[in-house]
Amino acid sequence: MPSWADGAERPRGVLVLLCNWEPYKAFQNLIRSGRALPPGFVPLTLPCSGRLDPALALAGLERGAEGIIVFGCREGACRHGPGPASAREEVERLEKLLDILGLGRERLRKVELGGEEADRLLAEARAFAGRLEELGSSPLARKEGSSRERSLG
Amino acid sequence: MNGPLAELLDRYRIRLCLDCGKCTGSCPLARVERDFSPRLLTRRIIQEGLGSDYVREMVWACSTCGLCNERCPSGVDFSGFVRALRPVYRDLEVGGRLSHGGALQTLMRLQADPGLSQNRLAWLEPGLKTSDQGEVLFFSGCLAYLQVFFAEFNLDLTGIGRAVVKILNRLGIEPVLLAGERCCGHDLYYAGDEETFSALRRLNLEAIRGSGAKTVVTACAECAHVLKNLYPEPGSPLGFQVFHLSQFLVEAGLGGGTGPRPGATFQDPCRLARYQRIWEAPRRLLETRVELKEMAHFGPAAWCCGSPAWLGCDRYVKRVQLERLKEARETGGRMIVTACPKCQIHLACAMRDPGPKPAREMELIDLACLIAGDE
Repeated sequence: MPSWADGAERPRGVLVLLCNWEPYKAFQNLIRSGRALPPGFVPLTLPCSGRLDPALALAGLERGAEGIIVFGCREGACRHGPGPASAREEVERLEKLLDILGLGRERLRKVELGGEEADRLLAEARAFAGRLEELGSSPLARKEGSSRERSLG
Repeated sequence: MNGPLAELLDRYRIRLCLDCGKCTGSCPLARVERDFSPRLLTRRIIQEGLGSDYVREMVWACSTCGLCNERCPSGVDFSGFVRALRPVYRDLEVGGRLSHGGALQTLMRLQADPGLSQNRLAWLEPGLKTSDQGEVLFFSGCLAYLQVFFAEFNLDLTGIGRAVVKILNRLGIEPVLLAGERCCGHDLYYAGDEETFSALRRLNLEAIRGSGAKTVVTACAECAHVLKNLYPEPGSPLGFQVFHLSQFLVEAGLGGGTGPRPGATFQDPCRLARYQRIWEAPRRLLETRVELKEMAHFGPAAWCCGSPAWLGCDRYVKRVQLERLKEARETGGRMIVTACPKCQIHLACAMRDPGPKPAREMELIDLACLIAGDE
């Protein structure tokens, strides 16, 4: 895990939100096979992708995330039922908020994933890292941490 | 007692409390049986100081609606005092419970970042005339964000912005709109975050002054209160005048509507009626457009929407809102007109409450939208 302490050489941070069921299984499979998420990707689990909340995503951006990638289960594979539909609704809301903020919806990516798809998990994360590289630094992440809200512990 | 608390007790005249209890008797929260009492809070903080468990909790429960101040025969500024205690408690890491997980406050703090380049005016439509420089500026507020955030309520919040531009155009005014406008900072100020509030204030003042505007109009009671009452600092005059839309239109001599006059009641926003002493102007505009039916509490005595700073919404706040809707329904009107997007959002939320359903059938509309509908 990279150090997020305030400093000039702040590594690029990407918030990775993993549903605790299929996507987390894929993540465990990835780790077990000796591989890792790209540098600076910080994984956090959610009880369900349906629990994606604007408060959490926005807090990530405030603490320096350049982007957020959400991995949820596919429709029909959700342990709780309405998770994927609820996640899509929240992603749509967040995309619009990111557009108004001027950060751009490209900084948010939502992927539906099965537990056996460790390769795809990694490929999606790498593709997202590449996309963020093209976009350049987020105006929020660019400068050094200036308040206690900004700097992911 | 000395230090910052003693200074606050003096500044807000807390020691002048006569113990009469008019504040608690009129407080909406106390009326819905919340264990909340302005009178008790003032006594506890004098006796026990900042460490009082009661004060630590209740300082965040108060909606700062200001009805207690209105009633106090001794001139105690209770809501001002509660507001001033919040940064003190925030420094002690005793925070309030932010509604919606704090997402709205985060959106506001993000707007304090000078590097941000927002797209907050996408709601403007072709045909609406605006300018980049000019005499009159329309400070549109957080409409774009709120529209998206509360999409499920199906409210036309960005429509308030379009309505204001339309009305101003009718008066021959092409208002300045600022792409670089930020949140006014109201909710952060009332949540005790004075540092971010100052940053927002600085950015907004720079942008407004840069436009050359001498008159700033808002359709939001909170923006108007903040710009008018909280932005000026000693030795730093604003350089422009701030008007709530209702006040601006009455002074501009806007005529009345000519259409039918449906029965309607007016929800006085606390930040408009009590914080700015404006309750006549919206009524002047309403009386020619609707058959105005007042609620039991109106004008400076009105009950507020329950949660003016996205802070501490709970079952008591919900009861305050449901009581308010009950008063609205009892007027027999079919519309509730508001002059603050937050009133509209909160009353819309209460209408969806799964409990008793007072006034669900009533239409909620902003004053600007009502006026823009004139032909």
